[in-house]
Amino acid sequence: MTPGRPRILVSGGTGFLGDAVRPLLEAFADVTLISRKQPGCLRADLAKWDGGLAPETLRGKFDVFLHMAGLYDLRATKREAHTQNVVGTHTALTITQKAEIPHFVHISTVAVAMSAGTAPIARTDQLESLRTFPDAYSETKAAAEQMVRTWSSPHLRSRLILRPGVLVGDQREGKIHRIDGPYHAAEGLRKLLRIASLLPGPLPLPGRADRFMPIVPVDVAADAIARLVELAWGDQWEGLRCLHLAPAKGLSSQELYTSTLRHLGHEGQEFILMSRLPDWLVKPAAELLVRFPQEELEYLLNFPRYDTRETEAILGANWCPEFRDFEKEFWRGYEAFVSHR
Amino acid sequence: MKPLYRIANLSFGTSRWDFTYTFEFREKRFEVQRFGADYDIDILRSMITRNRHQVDAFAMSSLPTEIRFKDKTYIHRQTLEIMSTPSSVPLCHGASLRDLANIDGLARLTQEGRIRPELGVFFPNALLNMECVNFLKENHRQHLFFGDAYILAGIPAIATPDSFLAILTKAGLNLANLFDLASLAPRGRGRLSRMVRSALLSQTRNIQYVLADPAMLTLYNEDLDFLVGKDVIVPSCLPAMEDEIRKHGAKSIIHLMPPVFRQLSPHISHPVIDATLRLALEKAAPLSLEEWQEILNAQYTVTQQTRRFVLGARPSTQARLTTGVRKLGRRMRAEATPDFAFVVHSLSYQHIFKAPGLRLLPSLPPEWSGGFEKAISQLPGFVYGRAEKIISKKTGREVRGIIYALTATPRIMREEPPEVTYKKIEQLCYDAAERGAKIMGLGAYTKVVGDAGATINRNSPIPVTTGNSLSASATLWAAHDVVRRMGLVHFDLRTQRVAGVAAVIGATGSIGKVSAKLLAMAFQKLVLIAPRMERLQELADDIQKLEPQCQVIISTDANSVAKECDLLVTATSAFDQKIVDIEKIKPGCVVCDCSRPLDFTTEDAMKRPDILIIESGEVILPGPQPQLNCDLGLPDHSVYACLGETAVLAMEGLYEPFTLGRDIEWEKVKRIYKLAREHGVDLAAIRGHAGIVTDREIQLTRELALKRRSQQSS
Repeated sequence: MTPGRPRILVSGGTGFLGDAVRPLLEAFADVTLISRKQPGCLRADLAKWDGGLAPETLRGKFDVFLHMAGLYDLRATKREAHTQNVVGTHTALTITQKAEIPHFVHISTVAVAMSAGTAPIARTDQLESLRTFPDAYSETKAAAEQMVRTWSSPHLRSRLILRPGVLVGDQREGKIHRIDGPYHAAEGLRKLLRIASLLPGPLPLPGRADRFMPIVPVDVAADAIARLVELAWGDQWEGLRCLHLAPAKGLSSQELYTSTLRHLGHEGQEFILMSRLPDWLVKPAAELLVRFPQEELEYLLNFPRYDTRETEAILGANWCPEFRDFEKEFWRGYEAFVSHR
Repeated sequence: MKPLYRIANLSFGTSRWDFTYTFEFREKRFEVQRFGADYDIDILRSMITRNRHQVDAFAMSSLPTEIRFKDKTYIHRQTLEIMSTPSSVPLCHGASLRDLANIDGLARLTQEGRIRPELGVFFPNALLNMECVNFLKENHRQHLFFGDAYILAGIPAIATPDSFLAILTKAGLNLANLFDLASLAPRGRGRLSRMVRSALLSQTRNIQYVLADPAMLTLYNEDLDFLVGKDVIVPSCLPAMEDEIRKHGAKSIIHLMPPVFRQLSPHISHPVIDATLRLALEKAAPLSLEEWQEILNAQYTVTQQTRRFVLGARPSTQARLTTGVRKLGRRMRAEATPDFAFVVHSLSYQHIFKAPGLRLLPSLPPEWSGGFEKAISQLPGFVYGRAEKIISKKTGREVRGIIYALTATPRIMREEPPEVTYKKIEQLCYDAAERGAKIMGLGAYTKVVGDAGATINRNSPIPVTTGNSLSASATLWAAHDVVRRMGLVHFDLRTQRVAGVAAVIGATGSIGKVSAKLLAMAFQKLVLIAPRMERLQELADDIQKLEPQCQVIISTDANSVAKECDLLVTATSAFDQKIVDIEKIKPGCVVCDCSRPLDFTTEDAMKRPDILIIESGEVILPGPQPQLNCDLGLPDHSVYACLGETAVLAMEGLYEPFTLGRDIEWEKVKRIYKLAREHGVDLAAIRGHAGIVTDREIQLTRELALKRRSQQSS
């Protein structure tokens, strides 16, 4: 332990986001990872009672609990998602309480605030409660966030909830671990273009002109998380705070398809957005035509704008780049992934 | 350091109120962690199975328990499902405490003038608070209003105790059982359901009090604004829920919970108190109404009014049934603790009628039997009988056993996925563990299912054994015995060996190897038969080293050696292939069929009445008068050898999964045989195709064999 450096307990430090956050934290803090099997970590399983630990023995040993662990899988069953996301958060909070850790940072997701139907701009104090959830992932993440909001204990000074947008490859190489979010457009269009010449007129593609996908390069999200953790500890934040980690504007469907077509060498290809059709018709049609998974489409079609004013006030106006700033790296990372699979 | 008890408070409701807290009660510390299942039964059940080894009790909240309405008791099927999830620690719902505390609270507060029911009391879901309704109905019938028609049927009308909607409610209750619990909550978020809901809630404008569980209340979300200016009466309430209700403009929150319990922790709820009291008083069963009263009395004076209500209440049929079951349970618990448990199954559906209570059932027409067999197989296992007064010759100690039976027949178990049978047996393991048994034996077909005990052992709180080790040695023991009793071979007193030829078909398999080693100890000549020569040679060398006096011959063709054998052991898994031609076997030969499925059919046996085919040996347990109070289909006091193994392990105090899986080990077979002899287990009966082999049968076979031999020689 080095005096003047925060001691951070991190869960989920070995995932896609965790890999990017870890080195940034280690630059200014003493980091201890919680992991089920990784050697050299604090062995714990958040699905178990107290994580299988004796949290009282950790008392006074940590300043921040950064809870990143969770199950990110839109096709997970409710039971799986609940165990990882809800029970996991419960255990993380219990450990925080018993080990008397003063600051708790919870990584949520923008998917918990999709109330596009009622408000065009999602505020950070809003949680999905007006509609039924599209999938177990968003439902359990919302329940977990709600739990963090309600949980209070005498030693818990601050609770910081961060809602990152759709994570994409980093700004340097664009490296990714799997195909999700905007990458599905490339996957789908690749197949569709083979038969494009057989279709009359422009390509019909799913999307809405007024919807923007809040994509964030993973290194940018990681940098923001690390900086906010440092601030929460250094400035001794109090109470509950929730921030969106999303770009000011985001990626429109129009922009996504234009860029994808350019990348696939079909720059002149015309397309139209099926924006007039109702969701229940667009989704199966798009799945059939473009192989765009329906559960992902739900988001593409319904993402609201996210209120990022508070985030910008803390991290600066240009903390999050827009798609055009890292378009080249985005595609490079995609190609690298595709050629290696 | 005071002892710490862990209570998992599992709520059917939302996880947003999850919390961890501790308190002290009667010199003990309690830690409670609340987990919400977000209205998912599957998640709730998985929480029980995940935590049952890590906690001391479960407190089940927000699960509608017993609903008493118009002299009848209703329990939702999903509640029953959850409450019957196997768990080695108690599942507490605190329903009777809740009833008592609520009535007492109401009586106390109306007396003090804090609650004035004449200003009107609205029950959004009266069925969940029937004890309060019943209490208030006595003096304030005209001031009660119910929202149940909406919850059950979506009708936005407020019912009164006298309106015809009460009849609808009754019908609704029966219907409610068909729907999932989750759908019975006011969670509809569509425009229509919101309109309906606000239509309902607008009718409550002139009612001063709202009595409901806050968990139910918070489901109204933004519609909760109907609480503005009202007093909310709650049976129990988490501080966070209280804040939420206040946020919506409620004038005050009135707690019915006795202050003495609220002082323990503001988070406390009835199921948690139930769990706490059971742990503090070291009771596994729920406390009775009288016991609750006693405890409440000691802490807080129960008002006269409450006493009258509780004592005057007529117990429902359901409640009386439950009491009966509990009484029976207590009687069972008063009996001696078993040392081991054993599970058998019904061999055919007719067997089921042997169970007590079913004996009088008329015999079914044959075409119904399939369906009946299937239907009855769905029932959980039950206690079939007990084995008592088993006294070890070695230690002189008495061991007792409990015998469970599964209603499923082998045919059903074969058809069903093995998990179904595993689960039933696991439940029995938990039951056995709770009764104090320290080892579980699997009988008959239950050990053949799936991976032969391995999975069951993994999930069981006590070790599990298939009993195959003693079965194997008892079978060969029996074979040896029959060979001697037939008297066709001569027993050499000098070498202490049978002057005859024994053969093992499938000698290189696990049972074959063990059989070969055992027979080498007793016969002068041993033939090993298996398809692979090099493996045979290895085994022959091995045996020769162990028993140099025995002459070992190896062969790959069973038919060529069959005419010389006095004892033939088959331990193959050849299924439909005929491994040896029955016509070629020597007259008077004893065939010991260790293969499962059997190598020889009943037809085979009928073709050759001059040879004796045996399947297995049964044993008799030690003691001057070992008692078995159920029918296992065996004569006298004999029991299956696998039950014998379980009993021997209990007598030896060797509580470990002794035999698991399909393979058996030589070392274990030798060891269990030795232990069995030490403790006084004896060979009792020998079973063949047509049941127990009698002396007369042996005699007949001998005569026929001699006749055929003389025919052959002439």
